[in-house]
Amino acid sequence: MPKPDHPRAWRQRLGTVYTRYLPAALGLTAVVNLALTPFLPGSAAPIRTHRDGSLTELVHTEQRAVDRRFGFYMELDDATNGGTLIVPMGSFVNAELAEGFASFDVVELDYDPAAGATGVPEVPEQWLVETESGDLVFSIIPGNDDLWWLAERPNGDVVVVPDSVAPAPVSP
Amino acid sequence: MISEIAIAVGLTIAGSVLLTAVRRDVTAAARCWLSLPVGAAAYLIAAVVSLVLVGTLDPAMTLLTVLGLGLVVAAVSIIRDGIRRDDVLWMLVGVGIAVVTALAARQWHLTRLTPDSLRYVLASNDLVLAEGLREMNATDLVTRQIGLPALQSLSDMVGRDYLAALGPLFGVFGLGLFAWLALEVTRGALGRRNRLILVGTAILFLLSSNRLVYDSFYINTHIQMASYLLIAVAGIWLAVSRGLSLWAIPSGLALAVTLVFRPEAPLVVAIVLVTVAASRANMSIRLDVIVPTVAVGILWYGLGLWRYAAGGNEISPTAPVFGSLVAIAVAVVLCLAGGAGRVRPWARWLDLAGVAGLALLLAFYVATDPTVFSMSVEATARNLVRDGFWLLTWVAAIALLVVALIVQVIPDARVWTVPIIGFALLYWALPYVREGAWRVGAGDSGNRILAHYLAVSLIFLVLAAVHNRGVASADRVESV
Repeated sequence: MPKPDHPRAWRQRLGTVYTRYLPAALGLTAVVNLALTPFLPGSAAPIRTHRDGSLTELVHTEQRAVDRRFGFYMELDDATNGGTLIVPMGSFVNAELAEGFASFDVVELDYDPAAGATGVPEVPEQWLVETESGDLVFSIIPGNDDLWWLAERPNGDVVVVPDSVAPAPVSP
Repeated sequence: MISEIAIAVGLTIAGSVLLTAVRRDVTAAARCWLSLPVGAAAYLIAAVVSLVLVGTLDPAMTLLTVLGLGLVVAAVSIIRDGIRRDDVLWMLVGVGIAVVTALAARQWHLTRLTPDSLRYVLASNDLVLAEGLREMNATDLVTRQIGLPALQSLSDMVGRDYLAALGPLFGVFGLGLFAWLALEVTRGALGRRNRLILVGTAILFLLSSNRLVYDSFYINTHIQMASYLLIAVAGIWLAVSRGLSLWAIPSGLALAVTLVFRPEAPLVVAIVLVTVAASRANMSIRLDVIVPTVAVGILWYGLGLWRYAAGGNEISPTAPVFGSLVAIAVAVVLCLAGGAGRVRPWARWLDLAGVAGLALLLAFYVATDPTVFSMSVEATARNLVRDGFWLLTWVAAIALLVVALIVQVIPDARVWTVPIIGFALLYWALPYVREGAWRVGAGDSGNRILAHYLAVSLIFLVLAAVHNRGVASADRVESV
């Protein structure tokens, strides 16, 4: 064992302290973590119930023929937010498909940046949009190339939101 | 629900029976916690073979094939060494845990989904088609890989879009393995009470890590990566340092399948393999670790991605497929060469040389484009303390890691320290090989991949508490 003035002595003392206080450090951190967890935004909750556990087909069979991979959506946090819909546009959107949706009514959107703070899942390219009536929250994702916006009404109608109405992208 | 439970049980039994081959060195309790991830790993390797060579994936047939293979392995093992009560009991415990976890996951439906999850789920639908790899998005093949889609393809058997139980199963079995490892590495080093306090607080620390728990319910690759990296690194250490050489087999399987989960995995695998290259591992351990990686590397990167991925056949050191193949190949060669008698005195410095090389590469990147680094530093700092939802997890873990690295005298310590330092360097280098700096937010991949290294780091912290200069004296046990 090194003498007290030996170069390794301080490491020995540090080691003793480390061993003695590691459980306390780990335990204290865990307690603080658990205490702070309720103050995290809703989207940080590790456990959140999901309504039916299934993805629902958004488009009809003939539209799936245009691009089979397009056309699913997921519903998140419906209990909390009254319907937060993720419309997965990604690279799958194309003009032909969007044209099919254009026959639906376009919903008037009143973008409320504050709504973006509630229940946004961890997706940078995603924004929450709230209707004027305030009773429905849409989640809209732009396409990779052409900026298309889709939204869905409570009755299941899917609408294409024109750029003139769509909100400016705001990072969450 | 019954079908999803059957899948969970099938993967667990597949892993259990395959692991009978390593009964000599891997205890029944450890095999219980390894069973689900190893069963899934075997399924994944079979899935890669099927997808690359046949062109499609039949999840039911693949699972049955793995189960059948496992039963043959178990039969041979039982004929040779007989069957022990412990083996059966712990296997039943594993099956019971799988059933309860799957039941709970389905009953309460805790799944977290984001559009990222959706891409994986959509890909899982593609893989079961006649030309699965051609059907899957060519960019997603590289960026998202087929590990999670292939596992989620099992949902095809139960008529659902995804398996809610998959993440929780990895979470529960990973936690069980973590607890087993923490108990194992502290065995005989501390008094019973102090040992239980240390292990208990370590488990509590892991359980209080918001993002890691979140990942257990989130359809993405993070909980799988965290579990497999823990198995890989801990298994190599147990094989090398404790002389339990058969641990190298589950370790090798775990390391190999990380290659089909994340695009940066080849670099992670290379770091681990270079660590093995410099270690005292004998040639048998080296081969057990290398062979699955080589098989998956050749099949998936060499044949699958090369042919089907967007830009897969681009030949350049920074091309995702070619560069990954080079990284794996170099690491494998070093690992094999390091085991040769004449090279060994030199090979023992390979890991440090690798870390130094990675540090130099990072320094070069930073000098070339300091903005990316400074933006990544700022984003990471904000993510670690607030925006990434890690709460105090990494703040405490990093501080403790620094102290542990200074004081530790763990036998064959570099099996732990080199990967941990290597992963840290890789974390800062990755923004230069992806689309840009890490970003602020829980959803940024820089923030998410931190989950991969938490359990490994935490076991190292526990090991350092029982192997350091301060506990070399006789009174160490009582002082804790």
